[in-house]
Amino acid sequence: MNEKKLLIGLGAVVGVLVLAVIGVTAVVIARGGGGGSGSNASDPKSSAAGPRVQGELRLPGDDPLTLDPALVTDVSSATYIVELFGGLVMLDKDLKIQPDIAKEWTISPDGLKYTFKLRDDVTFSQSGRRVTATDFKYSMERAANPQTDSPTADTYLGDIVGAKDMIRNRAKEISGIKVIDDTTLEITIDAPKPYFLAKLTYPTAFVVNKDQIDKDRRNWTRKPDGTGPFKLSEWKIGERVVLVPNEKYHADPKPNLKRVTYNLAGGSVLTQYENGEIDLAGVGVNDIDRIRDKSEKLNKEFIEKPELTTSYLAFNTRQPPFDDPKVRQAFGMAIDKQRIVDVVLKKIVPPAEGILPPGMPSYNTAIKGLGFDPARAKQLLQESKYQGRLPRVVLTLSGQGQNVGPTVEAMLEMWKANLGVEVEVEQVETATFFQDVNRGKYQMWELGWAADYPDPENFLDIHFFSESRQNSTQYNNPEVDKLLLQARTERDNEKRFQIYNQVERILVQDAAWVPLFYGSAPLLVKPYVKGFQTTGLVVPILRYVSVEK
Amino acid sequence: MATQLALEQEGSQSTAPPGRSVSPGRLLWRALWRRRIARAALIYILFFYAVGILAYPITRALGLPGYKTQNLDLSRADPSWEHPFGTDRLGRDQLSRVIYAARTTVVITFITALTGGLLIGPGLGLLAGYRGGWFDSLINRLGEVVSSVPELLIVILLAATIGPRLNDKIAEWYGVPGVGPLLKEGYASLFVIYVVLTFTSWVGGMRLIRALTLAVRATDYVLAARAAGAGTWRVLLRHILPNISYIIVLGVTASFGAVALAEIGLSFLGLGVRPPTPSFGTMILENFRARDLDQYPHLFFVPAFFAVALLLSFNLLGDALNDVLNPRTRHR
Amino acid sequence: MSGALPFIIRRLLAAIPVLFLVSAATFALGRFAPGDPVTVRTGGKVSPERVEAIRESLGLNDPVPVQYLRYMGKFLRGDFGESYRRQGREVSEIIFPKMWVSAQLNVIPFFLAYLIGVPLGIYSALKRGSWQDPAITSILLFLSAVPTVVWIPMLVYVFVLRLDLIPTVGWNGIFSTSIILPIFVLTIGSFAGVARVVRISMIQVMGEDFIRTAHAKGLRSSTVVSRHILRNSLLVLANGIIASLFSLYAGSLFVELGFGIPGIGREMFEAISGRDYDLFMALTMIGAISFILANLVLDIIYTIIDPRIRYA
Repeated sequence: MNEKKLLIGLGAVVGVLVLAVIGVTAVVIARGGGGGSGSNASDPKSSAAGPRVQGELRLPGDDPLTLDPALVTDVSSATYIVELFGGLVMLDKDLKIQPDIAKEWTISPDGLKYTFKLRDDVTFSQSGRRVTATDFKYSMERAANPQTDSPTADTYLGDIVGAKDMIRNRAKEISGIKVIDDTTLEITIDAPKPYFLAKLTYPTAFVVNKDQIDKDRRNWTRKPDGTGPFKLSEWKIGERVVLVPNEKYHADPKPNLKRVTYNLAGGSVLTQYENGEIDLAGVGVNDIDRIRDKSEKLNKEFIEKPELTTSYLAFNTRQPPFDDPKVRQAFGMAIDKQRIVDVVLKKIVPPAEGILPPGMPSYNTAIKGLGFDPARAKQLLQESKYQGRLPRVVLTLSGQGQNVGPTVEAMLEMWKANLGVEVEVEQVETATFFQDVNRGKYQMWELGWAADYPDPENFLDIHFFSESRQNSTQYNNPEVDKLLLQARTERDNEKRFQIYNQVERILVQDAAWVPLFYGSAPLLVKPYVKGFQTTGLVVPILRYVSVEK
Repeated sequence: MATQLALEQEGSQSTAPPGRSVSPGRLLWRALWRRRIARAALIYILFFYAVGILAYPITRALGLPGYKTQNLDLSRADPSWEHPFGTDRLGRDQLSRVIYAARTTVVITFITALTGGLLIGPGLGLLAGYRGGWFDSLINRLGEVVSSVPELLIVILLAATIGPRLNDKIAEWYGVPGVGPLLKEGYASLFVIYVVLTFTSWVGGMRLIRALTLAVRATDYVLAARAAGAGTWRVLLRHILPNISYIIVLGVTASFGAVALAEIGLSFLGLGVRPPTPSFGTMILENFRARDLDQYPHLFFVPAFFAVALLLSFNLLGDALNDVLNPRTRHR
Repeated sequence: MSGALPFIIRRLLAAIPVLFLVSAATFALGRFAPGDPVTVRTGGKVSPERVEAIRESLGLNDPVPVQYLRYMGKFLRGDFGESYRRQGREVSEIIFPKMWVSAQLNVIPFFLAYLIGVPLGIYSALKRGSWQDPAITSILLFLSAVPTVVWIPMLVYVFVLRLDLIPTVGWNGIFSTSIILPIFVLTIGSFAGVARVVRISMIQVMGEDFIRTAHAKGLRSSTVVSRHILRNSLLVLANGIIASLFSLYAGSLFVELGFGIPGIGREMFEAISGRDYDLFMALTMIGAISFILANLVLDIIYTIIDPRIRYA
């Protein structure tokens, strides 16, 4: 997904804001950890105004910014979209790729041609119309159509032959997508990329209903007609989103809940959880000590599971002073991550060593970070071409009108104490921030990255390949490029992951990113909620859940 | 800002032109000092401002660590001899931070109340009331524009829109010796707050002074002075200003409190003072969670106490001043 | 009541340039702010060519005055535009429900403030000279000195966490227990002001010549006081309506943030921080228009209640 998503991870984990509500982005269920920061809500209707419905799950949530699968980039919206829509394939709760509407597929020996055999019993949840291969071609072409303004089409569909032409407005259709018959779809990609199938689990490739969109191009997402396990029954801005099961859902397990109510109104999540008004709540830094206490009754309802996210400090490798790797290394070595984790973050997240978070394929514990070494950091700064005399250094953060947060404050102090460098902080409104990060406008910024699909390519290639659109550090290392190209088409996963390990080692030493913390989602779940688990990624999880009350 | 509003209303209802009998500074001071409540308020305000102004020498003399100095081993420590108010989540000495928060309040209230409440507001009011004509209508229109939008909306709008631009501009001065380090200390964000608050704080004073000036302008002695050939400025400064100075004093006192309150609000919203510079708004925000009142009550209540005491003192002082200067509504 | 109509017309005409300036200034501020509308709309993640195309289609490449006029044209026809953050949502469908929430939230504190404030102010004024008057004033000054952001955590701590009297914070409509604390905070914020203004106007009225005359004529003082006081209280009330109109917007921002209430103050704050241009333009304009109209109504009420005030 995008940086936006991870921003959350970080914001959440760090629990910067006391006032959840101020947050531009906020935490969603599985993303947890927000506690103070993001997750907050109260259910207007189901709690106070009426008795709970049997089999109802009540969750804290955030207003979705969009329910259009082609446009979504933020976790809040994606959480709803994966429940409402579906695609050819999907991730299950263990992040394995599973058939969704495609019941089976074959890959040609050269790894370029994917032939999907579709189920013939899948219908759109609202209109009841049957889904055919044509719908898939339409949906992906709609996403690639420049008029749609999909921010994600390039990343997720760009491997399909002809998709880039359509995105660049040079073609009217994606030549690599062929409808053979109603239940057969053939997709050709430009190189044998083993991670391609994983990309199709992302909302950009989900199927949408052409009839509905043609009828009301502007407002169709108010009652989205998807194929997901749930359908939207109500969406009242700032108050609640209500999902009800899609009775015709095709895959197993089928949804068990009678109703899912997301409370968007805000307030303290934990208080509501303790009052029994919501069934699930993220736990923030401020409450973690209390919850971890074995004598606390909430302790039994507490689960902690890593998320596939890494928060990091990024440097613009073309701008002074960070064009010198020694300066980057010095800044990295001057931060005592372990201390920040212990004291400021209350061990809610682990300090990061490498770039890939645990749980990611090819994650390797042998990869070590730069470590905390103030003496060496100082020395590196002297050895750099700036010889310890740096120009003005500004750390840019996203989110105006928010407090900077203790993690950043602690880092600023560490740079000052260990390097003698006074770093300034600048906060920029979120959308502008992302744009300017991509334009290389900032010297140094702090962000997080959440995996979109479980493949190291999603971390390493898109951020560090010199020509990648998301290479915001403008990192350019021919050796890394060579390895990344090699990994793209390596079809033996074992070998592929070894290459990625090698890349990761180089990157960590070269310090284009200084990985700070891995994600984690401390969560409270009521004992009567069965089958819920955090997944580390946004996947359709609600169909596994039942409420025994 | 409520206090300011209330005072303005009170003031504006005293439409009687002030007689020459209103005593200048000393009498006023004595009258205030005789009132026990006002005296207590004055003492607290003076104490607060002294602490704020002398923040650096005081913290040095007390041997406190700086307000920025972190000690992660001592995060959220309870009050002790070493840290009388305890430490915050980054292990910074809370007493030191309270003292520097006072400095933040002192700086921002001084510059804002003095320019907006004293110079710009009354200045424009005087000129508009005295000169009349197009200048008067222009100023009045501007006042109407500013006051036709909810004040908080303007403040937030300005802080969020021109704030970042101003900060960029200010950053260009970082290299300048003498000024640069001060700006880096967090004064840059204070300047932004100052501009924003000044923008809304001049209207009340302007209107009041304008009305009074109109009244005084028509009095015999001003007419006599003009007839004697006194120029605009001379008439304004020698004849009109002394007659309405009491209202200005009232207004400035009120705006001190209002600005202090507004700063707390802005910082609370994350649009005010930037860390690590402490302010009462950010300190309250950091320890605002109801649940933390249990474990670390001092982190919330100590800064809240000093801030509330200041706001209360300004309220009491304003009330007493009003009493002294406007005897008809006096308590006794 | 001669001259009422020309007066109203004159005032309405005078409001036009003010509205013009307010709208132009807000519009200009929006454009001046860092952060580009298209970026906000697209999240900053579409290709530069597409950004350019969207710019063109939204008319953002035109000179700012042209854009402004176009916007105002739409605004005057009742089209407030579309939210930039929430794709496909119209401004009006976002702000009116939120205004309704804020209106509900503010209505009880509004009446409570007068119900408590007016009698207290009268009492205080009548007790002038005794210890009660300064005591009441001091208490009122204290109550109005405690900022909302200080009240909120204390109240939540005591009533929600410690005493467990109120189940939760958040918005459950006006007929739920969770509205008690917000009402409390909002009432405290305003009744002190009401009481102080009532007290002062009382005292002034009591000193007026005609009251002295009435006394001299032998009218019982309670009759005199109650009649004139009532009239003055009405003035205060009328004045307060304006202030409350503002609080519909901004006054309850901190309360909405602190208690998690989806009201217009929060929406405004988020719209401004998130650069939701059309949204905050509309909010500012609606705020300014209602304020100007309300002021006009207030002036008319004044002249009805207090015939001494003439159409200025």
